[in-house]
Amino acid sequence: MTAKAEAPILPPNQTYADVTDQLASIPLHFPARRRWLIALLLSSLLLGLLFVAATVLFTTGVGIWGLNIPVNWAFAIHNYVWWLGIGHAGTLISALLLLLGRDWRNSLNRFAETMTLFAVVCAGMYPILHLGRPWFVYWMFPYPATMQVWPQFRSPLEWDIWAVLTYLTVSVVFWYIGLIPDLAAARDRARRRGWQVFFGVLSLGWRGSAIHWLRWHHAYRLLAALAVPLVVSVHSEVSLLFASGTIPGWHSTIFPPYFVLGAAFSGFAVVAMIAIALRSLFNLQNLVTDDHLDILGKVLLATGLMTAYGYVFEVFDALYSGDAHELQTLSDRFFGQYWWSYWGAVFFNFVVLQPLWFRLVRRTPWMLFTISTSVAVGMWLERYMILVTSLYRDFLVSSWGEYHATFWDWAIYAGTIGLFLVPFLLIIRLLPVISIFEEKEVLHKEHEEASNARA
Amino acid sequence: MTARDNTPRFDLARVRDVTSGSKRFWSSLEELIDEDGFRAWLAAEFPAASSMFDDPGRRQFLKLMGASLLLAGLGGCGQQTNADHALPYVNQPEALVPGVPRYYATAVTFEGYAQPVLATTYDGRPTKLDGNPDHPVTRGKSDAFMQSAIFGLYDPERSKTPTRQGTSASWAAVEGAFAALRARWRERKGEGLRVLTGATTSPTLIRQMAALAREYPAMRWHRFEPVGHASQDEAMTAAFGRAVSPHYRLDRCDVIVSLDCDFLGPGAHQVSYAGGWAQKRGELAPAQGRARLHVAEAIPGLAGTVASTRLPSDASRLGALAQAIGAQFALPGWTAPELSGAEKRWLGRAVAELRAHQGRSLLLIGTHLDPQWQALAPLVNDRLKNSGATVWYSDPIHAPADGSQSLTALTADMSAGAVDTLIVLDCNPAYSAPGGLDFASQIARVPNRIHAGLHVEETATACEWHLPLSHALESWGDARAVDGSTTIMQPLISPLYSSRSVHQIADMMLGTVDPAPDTAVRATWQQAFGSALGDRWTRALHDGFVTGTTASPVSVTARPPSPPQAGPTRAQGQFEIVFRPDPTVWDGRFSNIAWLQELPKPLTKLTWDNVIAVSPAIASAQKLSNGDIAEVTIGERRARGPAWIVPGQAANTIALFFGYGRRAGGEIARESGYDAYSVRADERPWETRGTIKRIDGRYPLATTQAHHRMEGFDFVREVTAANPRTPPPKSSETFYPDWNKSTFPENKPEHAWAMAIDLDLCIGCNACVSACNVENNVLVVGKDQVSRGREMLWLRVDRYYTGDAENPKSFFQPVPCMQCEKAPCEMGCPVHATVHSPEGVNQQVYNRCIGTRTCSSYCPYKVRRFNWYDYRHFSEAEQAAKNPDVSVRSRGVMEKCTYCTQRIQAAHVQADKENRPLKRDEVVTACQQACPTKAIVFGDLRDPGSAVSQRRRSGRHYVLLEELGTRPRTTYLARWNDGEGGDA
Amino acid sequence: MPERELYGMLAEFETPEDLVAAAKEARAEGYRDIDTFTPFPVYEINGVLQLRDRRVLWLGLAGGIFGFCLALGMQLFTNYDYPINVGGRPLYALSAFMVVAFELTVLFAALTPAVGMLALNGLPRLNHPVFAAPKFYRASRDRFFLCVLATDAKFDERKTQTFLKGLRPNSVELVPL
Repeated sequence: MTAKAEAPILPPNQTYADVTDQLASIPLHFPARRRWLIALLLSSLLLGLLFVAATVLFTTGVGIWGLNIPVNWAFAIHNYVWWLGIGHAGTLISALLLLLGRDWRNSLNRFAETMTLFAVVCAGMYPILHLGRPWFVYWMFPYPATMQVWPQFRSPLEWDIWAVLTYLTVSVVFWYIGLIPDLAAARDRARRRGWQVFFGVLSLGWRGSAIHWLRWHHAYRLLAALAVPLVVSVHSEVSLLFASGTIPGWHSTIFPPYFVLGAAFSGFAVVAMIAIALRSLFNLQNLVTDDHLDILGKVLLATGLMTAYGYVFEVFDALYSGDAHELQTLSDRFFGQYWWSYWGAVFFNFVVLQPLWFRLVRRTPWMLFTISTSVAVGMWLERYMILVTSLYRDFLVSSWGEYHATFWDWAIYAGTIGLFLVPFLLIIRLLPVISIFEEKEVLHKEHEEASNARA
Repeated sequence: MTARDNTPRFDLARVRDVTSGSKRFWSSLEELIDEDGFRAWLAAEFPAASSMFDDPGRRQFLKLMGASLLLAGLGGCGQQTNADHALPYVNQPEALVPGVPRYYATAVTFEGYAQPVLATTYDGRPTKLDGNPDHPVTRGKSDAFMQSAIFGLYDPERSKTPTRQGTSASWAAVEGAFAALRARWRERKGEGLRVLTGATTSPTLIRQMAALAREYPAMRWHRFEPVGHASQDEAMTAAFGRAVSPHYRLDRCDVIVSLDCDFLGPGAHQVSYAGGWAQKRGELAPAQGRARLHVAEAIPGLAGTVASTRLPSDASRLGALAQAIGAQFALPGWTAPELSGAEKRWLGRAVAELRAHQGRSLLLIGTHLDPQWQALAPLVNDRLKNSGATVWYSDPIHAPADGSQSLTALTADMSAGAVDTLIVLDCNPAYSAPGGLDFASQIARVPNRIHAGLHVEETATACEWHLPLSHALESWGDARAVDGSTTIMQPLISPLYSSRSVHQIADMMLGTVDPAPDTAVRATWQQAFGSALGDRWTRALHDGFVTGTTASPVSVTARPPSPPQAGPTRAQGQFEIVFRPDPTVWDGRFSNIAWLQELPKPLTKLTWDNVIAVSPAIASAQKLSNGDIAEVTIGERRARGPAWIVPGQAANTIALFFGYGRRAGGEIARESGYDAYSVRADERPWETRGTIKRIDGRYPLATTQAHHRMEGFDFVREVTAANPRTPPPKSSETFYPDWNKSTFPENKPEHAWAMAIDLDLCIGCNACVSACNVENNVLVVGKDQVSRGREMLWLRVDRYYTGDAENPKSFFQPVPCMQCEKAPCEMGCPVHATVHSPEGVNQQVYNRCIGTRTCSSYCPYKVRRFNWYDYRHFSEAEQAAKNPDVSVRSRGVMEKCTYCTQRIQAAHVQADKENRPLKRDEVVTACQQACPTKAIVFGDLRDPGSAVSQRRRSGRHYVLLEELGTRPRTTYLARWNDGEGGDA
Repeated sequence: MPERELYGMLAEFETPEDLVAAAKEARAEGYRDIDTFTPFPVYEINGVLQLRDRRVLWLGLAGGIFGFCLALGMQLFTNYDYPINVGGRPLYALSAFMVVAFELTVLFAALTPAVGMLALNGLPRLNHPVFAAPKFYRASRDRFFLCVLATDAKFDERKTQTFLKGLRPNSVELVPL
């Protein structure tokens, strides 16, 4: 990959001006109005469904879901994990790769971060929705209550609340700090008064002064340096939500890394999907190049293989423990009532992934898109598998049960997809989807290298 | 009312003497309540109540409140001599503290037998029934029916007023009708007057019927019990030439051999027999005369579950086994039949042990078998010198009925048009009569039909008149327990509705106008007690039974039974079909009690339905799986119901259960199941032959336990004489220091609550579960929710089996909250809604719970229950049944067993008031209190002498899922295996 | 026109390289109050203009320490204030408390530099003299501006203009205050 980084990632035959005008013009002179409107309409329908479902849920109770004892967690929790995982890729791409000085990330980080924001919002919805008495969610925060009781800080759920809120806040700040210079650029390109005011206010009067850039640089790097361990911690805690329980199939030390890698895996898949979609929607082939897809493909393959290692280790874990209940759960996963969730995960996350070994596949948008979609599905199945196949048959044979998702389970899930898409579509309509100034940095670098090479 | 509590007793009798018959006192509560005097007094004494008073919506509640105050008032005014001062009182007596329970001894009835209870009442509302601790039969123990009787009292669907042709009428009109009828009877000398009741032991009712017979000589009193002891009476008559009631002393039995006699199963005898058996069984080591039990039965029963050896045996083969026993004892004309290897082995062992323990053994032959087989038991027991030792006989406890007094005879007369007036008292033949009799259509031929019952049930709809009966807890009455001792039943609450007791109605038949509730009973005991009435009456009410009424042995010797005519044959091409009462709704009398409907049947764990139970063999032959709709054909008649495969059911046997398929008698009753009576034959009521076939379609069944095979785990452990100890508990190391020591060295809790459950004594009878439900206001969630796995049971009795499905070994394991010291649930809760008490109880704080359900996810025992919806949809009548010391949980909160924390607290308060430490084993949980076999023991671990500490020292002590290191406070004692595989 | 009415003088360059060269010369000439405006960070400038300001990073450190102490203090206090036995776990379960402690550390370590950066930069400031310069809109596109501020001791309208012209910029313009 280092070799790749040195070869120009962006076609050098473009000037700062071209890049600036091309990207700034997306909000200012929006192309592809029709396709965008259709997309917005459809996702608004999903969002509407969420409101309906949530209303029913809050008025009648979580009984509308297929939950029971023993399976008293299912869709709400595993979709929470799924969404959060997707979110993580955004942060990893823009923070980790920034620190590693991977220039190719400059074409992806903006919309990847945007994706993160709304994925985290979707995830954050669930812990509230799944409460028996959601109107008391504020009891999870330390405030001087009349009963003088405080939250219980040994609980993984308590950790999650803090982790997710921190993660959301930091992501928003990181995203916005990175956005300011581009807002200024858009402001200066805007001709219509409305846009000028809009970007003028948002850009906070950024003018690219040298000392400003210096401080900005410090802040941005520092945030990046914090975001990376944050991501790892957040999903590790999510995994502890399970690993802290005694339930067979949950109570395993592999969980934190297993979850973090799975998260990155699903996230990169969704990033690839968005990248491919945007670049065809806005004709950005010159900025999101085939090389970018190629790299994404490799990353996907790599994280996918690490996730596969997780699967292997889980099996080893159970066998090595020799614990009767662990083995029971293992066989339930292989051959039990929900076998499809396990083998589905293996198929979509591992088997379908293999073509990515071939350069051609990685560089062919529709192929990469298909594989990414399958990964998103696969990871959803994996989360489902981890949750349900562990709970539906835990220790005592007498309390073995079943879980069947109801219409409302699905409605809420589909609704969160709407909750993700609607704001995302609005953002790409209103703001630069790709970081303008960072692209220009890359160009600058490339020009220098070119001139050095000539000299 | 005579109270059982620490308040001074008072002479109720005198109060009653002066108030009896006072219309003002009893007849109309509303009348009283609307009085300004009452209003003012209410406001003064009970502001809360009076604020409710103006809300018309609360009228029903007010009735209850009023009624309770009425009785509470009585409680207080013992010293008053003048009825007018009885109500309303001006000064609140110290005797009555609102919110402090009072205890009254009385009884509820089951198949005519008294179930002696000690009732807990709050402000005059009965909220819980438990066995009367002083009574020789119950000794404080109870069964599921007794526990749930309270729900029968508050059943909102009880009939509330007399009706004629379905339209409501007044009692005055009823008396008018009776007056007219009496004229008819008089002129016809009672010809054509028939009274039909269930089996009864009530001296008063018997006296009243005798009086009726004196007045109208030609009248006839019929008795009918769908289950009952009719066939036993027949057998005893065959054996002794006269009807007697057998009494078994199971506490003296080293060996019990049972042919299809589920003496531990539900029924009037369950509490006493289970207690006796457990007393013998519950020794600490084997070969200390622990009761060994050999059972041959057609369908798995509770006795079979705990038996040393069990032989699944079709009804016909049971006959063969009986015959073989007869042959072994060389009865004249009894020839040994062909027996299979397994049968030979079982029988050889059983008879050998019977002989080896002469005088300390017992042969039981089930009342579902043909009387000719039952008649064998008395003789064999005579030969074994068991008579007088392990079994004795008394005059019949219940009023025996001869053939002419049977339902069969009545139906015949009805169809012959010989019946002019039929009065059905607390009996429902239109539903429960064998389909063969076709009673429902015959009754239409009777000109005058009167039915009295708790509900507008099938028979009521077939009658011109329906009279609402008062519940046992509302009315004066008397009945004899299975040991013959008589209880005078006192009302704990004024009738909720315009109803009357059986005795009042009988008095009306005799011509009394507007009889007072107690006159009939009082009259009966006037004769018995004579001049000493006042004292002995009060004494009897206080004790809960009349001393000296226990049945005494009669010397009888069994005659050799006549040799069996044509030895039983195997059914060719047909299956053997047996009929059984349902374990939770019995013959249908409880089918409108939601709690009994939702109580899991002991072995199938099914709720809300009856099934057609088939053996695994039949299932595979007929391609039947659980829930498939099957059609059973017996002669002309057919019944359709869901099939259920019962491991351990005899290979060729199909079992049908009564109590369902109701056509009237309340919404709950009507909801579910099929009617097994419709295919029942009058001449062969218990077993017959028929075919079964699969019908397309499935029927949704709700079960609380889907999987019964133990899958090789050791949830229930076994010990044998060779290997009498469970492995000693591992020292479960932990990262964490002892919490109390490390955190609060200064305040060391002086108690550590714990529970130990002896699986060798548990017979899975559900008494504990029902007691828990009543005590803790556990809500009914309904069939749909149960089928979704959302039942609310705080205490469940898991049932497992091992071995092959044809003849598995079954185990029961009650599972309350384990109250883990290192509770995984607690650290999962983000809001401190489930925390640990210093005394080691894992507490659930309902009003702090936000419903994350993490605790339940982490709970390895899955004992936590969640309110998925708001399940608190109960009528105001049912509200009155709630235990005021336990909050009713709302939507979205987790709940679970708390070791009856309210009882622990109450004990603490009492001890503090008396400025003393808690007494040893002072705190008793509801489940422990109910358990007829004392399988459940609760107490303080810090007291080495406490029962629970002793059990923990037993070699059979083990911890469920010990390897998890949760350190449960609830632990188990392993079961003895003294049968095949184990050793004696 | 008197000097105080001026903000400074703006020279426009094609490439970052030209800008850096020009800045060097301006420093050599003795100008000190110099600022540059670029569409993306050009780090060489910092050296040339001798810009040194690490306060943002220090703010981050301070925020982190504050967050950690806050979180740990909160958890210790709440358990001290209302001690309950939770599953027999220690009352002060540091290992468990570390999680929230870490989260709050990150939270504050991230918020303080972000806010601090804006504050130190005097942002938000919606208007600024340089915005008045007609060509300045290209500063966010593809032009690199050098600005000698009027506050500079050596600033003299004519001299400075000729000096800047000498650096061969695309254009030179006065920025009125």
